[in-house]
Amino acid sequence: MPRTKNEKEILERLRESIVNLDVEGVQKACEQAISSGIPAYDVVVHGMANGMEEVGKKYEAREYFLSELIIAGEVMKEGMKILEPHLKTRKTKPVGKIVIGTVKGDIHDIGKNVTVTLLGAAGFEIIDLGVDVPVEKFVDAVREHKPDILAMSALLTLTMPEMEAVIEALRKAKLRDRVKIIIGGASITAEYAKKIGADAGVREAFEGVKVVKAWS
Amino acid sequence: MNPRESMLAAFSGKKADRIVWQPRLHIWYEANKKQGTLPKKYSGKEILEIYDDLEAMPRSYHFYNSTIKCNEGNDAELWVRNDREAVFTKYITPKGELKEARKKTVYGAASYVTEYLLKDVEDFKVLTYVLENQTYEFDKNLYEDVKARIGNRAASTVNLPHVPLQSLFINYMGFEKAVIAMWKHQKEVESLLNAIEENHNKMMKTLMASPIEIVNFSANIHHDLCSPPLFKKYILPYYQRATKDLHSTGKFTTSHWDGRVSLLLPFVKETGLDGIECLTPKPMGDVTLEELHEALGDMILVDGIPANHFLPWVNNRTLKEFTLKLLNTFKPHLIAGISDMLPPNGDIEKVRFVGKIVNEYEL
Repeated sequence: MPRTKNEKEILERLRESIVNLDVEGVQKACEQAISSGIPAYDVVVHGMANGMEEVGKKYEAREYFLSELIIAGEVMKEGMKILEPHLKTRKTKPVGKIVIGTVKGDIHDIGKNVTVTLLGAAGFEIIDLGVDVPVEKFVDAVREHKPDILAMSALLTLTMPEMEAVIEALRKAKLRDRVKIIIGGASITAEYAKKIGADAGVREAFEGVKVVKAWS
Repeated sequence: MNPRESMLAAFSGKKADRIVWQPRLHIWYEANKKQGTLPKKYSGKEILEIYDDLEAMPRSYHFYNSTIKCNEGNDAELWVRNDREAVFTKYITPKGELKEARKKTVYGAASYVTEYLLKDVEDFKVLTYVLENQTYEFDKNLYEDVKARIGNRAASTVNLPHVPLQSLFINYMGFEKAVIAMWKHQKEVESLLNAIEENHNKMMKTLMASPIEIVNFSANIHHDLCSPPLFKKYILPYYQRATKDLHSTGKFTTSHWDGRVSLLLPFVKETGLDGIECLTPKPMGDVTLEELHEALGDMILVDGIPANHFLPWVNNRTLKEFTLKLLNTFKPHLIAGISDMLPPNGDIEKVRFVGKIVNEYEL
């Protein structure tokens, strides 16, 4: 949609304020955008989302860290409070739905939480099952939420076989073909993913986000 | 030299006659004992008997930690309920109450927080009250008992709690809530971090007056949790203050860094620490042995062999090559061990295999 110079400047200020974690700047830009007549949906997609994408790139480049990702999410929430009343007639559709969890016996959640934050910023709807998640809970979540993607995390080599058990249980429940499956963790390799019947295996959160974005 | 003397020689920069092999076996032992899957020859054995059979030495804080006792203040009541699957903790103080729940993992050898003590910034004053009123004491009798059990297998070591920022992230509030609290209530968070440090100082003073030889700062450092800017602002100055105090009474200091650490290694020499424990190399961590060595210089590396090298499907040639590379790279500034510990499905005979290589290695 063609925009005036003023509208472009407002959206650029919004993007920059998100990147700079400037909550007042975000609030001001959101108010200006609405009063200038820019549809709230466009403010989200062309202002907020662009800012969050830049934050994700900075994280990948090690200029930003997990704490900045979390704060960027909070800054965005403050802006959304202003935009939400104007979004009632047009909801933003999630890019896709993902069920995610750290497998049974494993309580390491840093990698999973980074992935959740990055996926949220990328517009996915996320059902986070937490840590130490038993096989049945993954299967029930796939049945109940009908996600596009199932993501499983494990740091411990000891708990990696749990991923295979989940995939096998999904096969038995005739649910395997309904979801793409990605596994992640420090010891995960593409070969291991293939061996246990997952669609992808990654070591880093942002690698995983790239994979699922390509699937959506 | 006995292993204890060799350890202390390494820390003090004197010539040691050996590299000490000190793999952490506690999780492996507890998990397999609970499941009844200890190897037959170790069934009914104490962990020290297994160490002796393997010609390996224990990490002694597993034994000496309980020599430092924490006493709650007179007005602070502490209730703990230990169920089969969870542990519930409650503090009742004149400033208010705090509750925590921890779920035990499937092997029961560890637990994780499912309800943090600090729900919001209003709870800070309650925790501050608890911390300000706690006192520490050294149990001399228990120390003598432990010393008699451990003998000269290892220098005496005690863990300090997580460094203050990591205490807030890992134990008290959870990472996400704590980061948001730091963003919205920086002054209150910094005041709480000071209260945590003051509490640690009380424990350190008790340790400084004790015969304990090495103090290990629990930290679980990982650069995703504790980014370089946070490390420089909150953790580095804490290490510098604390190590200065501990060195003044002749204690050696280490800290447990067990995550991805490549972005923090440039600061390691500024910490004042004598050594770093764990520092998982690739393929489990994000740094090579060479990168670790370059960063540490003459500091001691405690551990060094990634835990996944002890899994049954990893061949002994790979394990031997890695072990020799570790020894050649770090000697004599090394207490060799597993980064971080032998997993429950680890092959105990690989521990013996590595022990033979380390014990026969000539400095």
